[in-house]
Amino acid sequence: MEEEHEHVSGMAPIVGLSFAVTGFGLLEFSQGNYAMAFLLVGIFLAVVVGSVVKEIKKRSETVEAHEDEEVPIQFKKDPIFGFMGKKLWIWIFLISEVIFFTLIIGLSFSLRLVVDEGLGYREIAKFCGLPTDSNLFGLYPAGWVDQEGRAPHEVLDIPLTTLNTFVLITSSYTMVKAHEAAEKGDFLGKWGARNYLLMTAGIGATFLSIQVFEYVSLIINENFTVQSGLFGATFYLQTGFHGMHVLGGIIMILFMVYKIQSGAMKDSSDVEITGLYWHFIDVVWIMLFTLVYLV
Amino acid sequence: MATERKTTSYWFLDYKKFFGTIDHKQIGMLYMMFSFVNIVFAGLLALIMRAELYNPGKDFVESRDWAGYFTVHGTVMIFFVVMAMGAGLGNYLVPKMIGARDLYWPRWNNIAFWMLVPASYFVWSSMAPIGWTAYPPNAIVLGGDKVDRWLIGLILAGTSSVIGAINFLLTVIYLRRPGLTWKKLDLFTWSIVFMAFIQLAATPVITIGLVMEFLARSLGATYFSTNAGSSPLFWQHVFWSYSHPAVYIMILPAMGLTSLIISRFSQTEVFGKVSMILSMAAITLLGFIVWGHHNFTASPNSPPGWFFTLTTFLIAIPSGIKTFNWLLTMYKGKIVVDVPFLFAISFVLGFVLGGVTGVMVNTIPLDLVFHDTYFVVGHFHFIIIGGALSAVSGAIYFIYSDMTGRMYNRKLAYAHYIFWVIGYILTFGSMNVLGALGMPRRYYDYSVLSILPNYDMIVLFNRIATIGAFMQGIAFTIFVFNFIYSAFKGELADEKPYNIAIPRLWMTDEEWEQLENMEVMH
Repeated sequence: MEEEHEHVSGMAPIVGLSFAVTGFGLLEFSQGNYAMAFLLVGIFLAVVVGSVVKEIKKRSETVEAHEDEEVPIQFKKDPIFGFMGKKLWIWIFLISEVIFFTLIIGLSFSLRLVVDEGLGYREIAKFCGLPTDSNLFGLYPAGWVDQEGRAPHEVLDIPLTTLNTFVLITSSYTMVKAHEAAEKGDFLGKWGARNYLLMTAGIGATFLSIQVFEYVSLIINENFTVQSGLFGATFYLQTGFHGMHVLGGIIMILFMVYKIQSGAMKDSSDVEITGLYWHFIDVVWIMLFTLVYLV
Repeated sequence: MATERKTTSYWFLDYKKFFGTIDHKQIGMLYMMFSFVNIVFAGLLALIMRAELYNPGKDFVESRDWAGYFTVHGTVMIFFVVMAMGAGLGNYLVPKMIGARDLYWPRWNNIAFWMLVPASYFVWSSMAPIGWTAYPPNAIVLGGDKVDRWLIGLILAGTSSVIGAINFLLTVIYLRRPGLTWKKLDLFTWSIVFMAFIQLAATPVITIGLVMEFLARSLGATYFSTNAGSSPLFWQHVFWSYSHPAVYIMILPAMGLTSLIISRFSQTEVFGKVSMILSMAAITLLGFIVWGHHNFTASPNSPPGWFFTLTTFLIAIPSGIKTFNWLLTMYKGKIVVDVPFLFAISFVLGFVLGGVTGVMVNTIPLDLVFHDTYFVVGHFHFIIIGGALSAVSGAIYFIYSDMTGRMYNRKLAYAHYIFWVIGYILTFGSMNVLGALGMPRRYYDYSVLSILPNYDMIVLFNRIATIGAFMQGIAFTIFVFNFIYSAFKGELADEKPYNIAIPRLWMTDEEWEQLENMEVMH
């Protein structure tokens, strides 16, 4: 009986099926019911967080019993990939993420190159001999500008974002320190991995808060929304996806903190994996900051 | 071992196992069952459409439902039938082939499967009238939540396939039995490696595209709007740079299965194994740079036109190498004619017919004529139905006794085969003819074509196509009946050596322990 239960997981199908809840959340979002949408996505996140916490708890209780099962037979034997050990999965996942962000940034930038050469309503009105503020066909102005003809540096708050960039780079430093401490085996000390991870998560949360503040002020004060031409649409697509990845990274860091706290952390590889993901997010931000804000 | 009779285990009747199983064989079977359920309903949609097209005028389908039918038929067949079959057979076979006990992440495997179920719910409930390509501006200006449901379903399906892809790659990299080097790895596992790589690299593209359409619909973002300086053609590039590689996600596992079946039933190694692996690698890489051949009529004379024609012609070379290698394997071997082998032959037939018509539509002057006609429909159905689904059916017969411990009914299997092959050649061959006669795709009432000189030929070939479609329907009914009936009432498999594949496919627990002990001694 006990043997049979080894091949059954109670949480996995619940997590899998709970993606339906996210789906319904997105559906509510598309219909404009934002409160309901956030509630449903929140329920989904709660299911995921709950199941991961349960899993970590289980591992912390049976840390010895599972130790040899965790290391597969061929773990370090593959001649090409073996040296990566447990880190391989995050590299494979990062391939996918690199392609994802390369495409978002690349598509947005190529749209920018196309739009810079295109015609807007002012040019067309001039060509037709109409007053240049007439917009008969609902066209947008020419160039990489929003609906009122403002260029990126006129709309975006660049000093604030520069500060924010420094905040995020600082978090990379604390992440490196966390990994360093974990390599030494110092998890719970004053300058141990746990505290550095908490610091990283805190700085990441600061970054996100500043970004939310920026969004709110852009939407309310500057009337700069997703509908502000291709500039607005791609701005929110790029920074929004990056922000969601920062949120994911923070959740991942908090899982690691819980793992250290509950004693399920056996070596530094999990901290390193989290670190790789976090540094990747940082690098993406530096590219975004350059290409979206500065250029 | 030989004295022990393998008996059937009805594990799926226990709901805890049904939902919570993390065993690779059982999850593989769940994928197959899921795929069967979807193919039955998506196939019924196809039969409804073919029945409507039997006569030229409007018969019983409402015009507003028609587009929803072909959208859901296409989307479900691609994402929840053929891709799910690839994942299911990969789950079932890869650990056995490489001598692993399970996949690297058994629980993620379960999560990836159960994510597909809500995904298919969203697609089925959408009935969005957009075609599976969801071209703007149509897909963006349509009101209601139909298109949103479709987009959400595909985002979930994509996420699931990325999880599955990482899992397969980790399994093949880390869990091979000692001594199984990359060079000795069999062709099916190689095909799953390439499939997983395409899923990993291409799925982000469609995710971005779907999110962009979603935001364009729900928040009014102008990604595809001409007014803002972009263009609806932009979506075509985003969509096809995923969806062309997606074709190879569907066909690569089928190629691997064909190699497996042909070599086992010719009782010899596959001819030119290294060239087979390199061909698959070439197909994988070239698959990413051919998407523009879907847009020839949008921009035929620009330089990318000849570039995409060239790369697409290049893909015919590795495909040809594979076809000749299969034929030479049979030529050199000692063939045992059995059900799985016949289906592998059917794969080669469908693949060649679809491939030759594919080269035709890739030629720009011909494509300008054939674009959006039934010729294209015939072409890709030959590849997917005649090719991929034949190989998958053969593989299911191949591992049937291993899955259920019982043997399928051979006579019914031969009946399935005959109806299947004749059915798909009639249907899709007629579609090719119809396209050449000038019948556009996606019409539900083609009586407007009566101005054409060959109108009576168009009606005739539509009728032949419908008859062929119903033959395929009969074939599939026989298949499902045989599958379910034999699982409960079939002969026990161990009484006769029905399936020559089993002794070499099967990694028993004793063998596993021996290997593990070997490893400990090292």
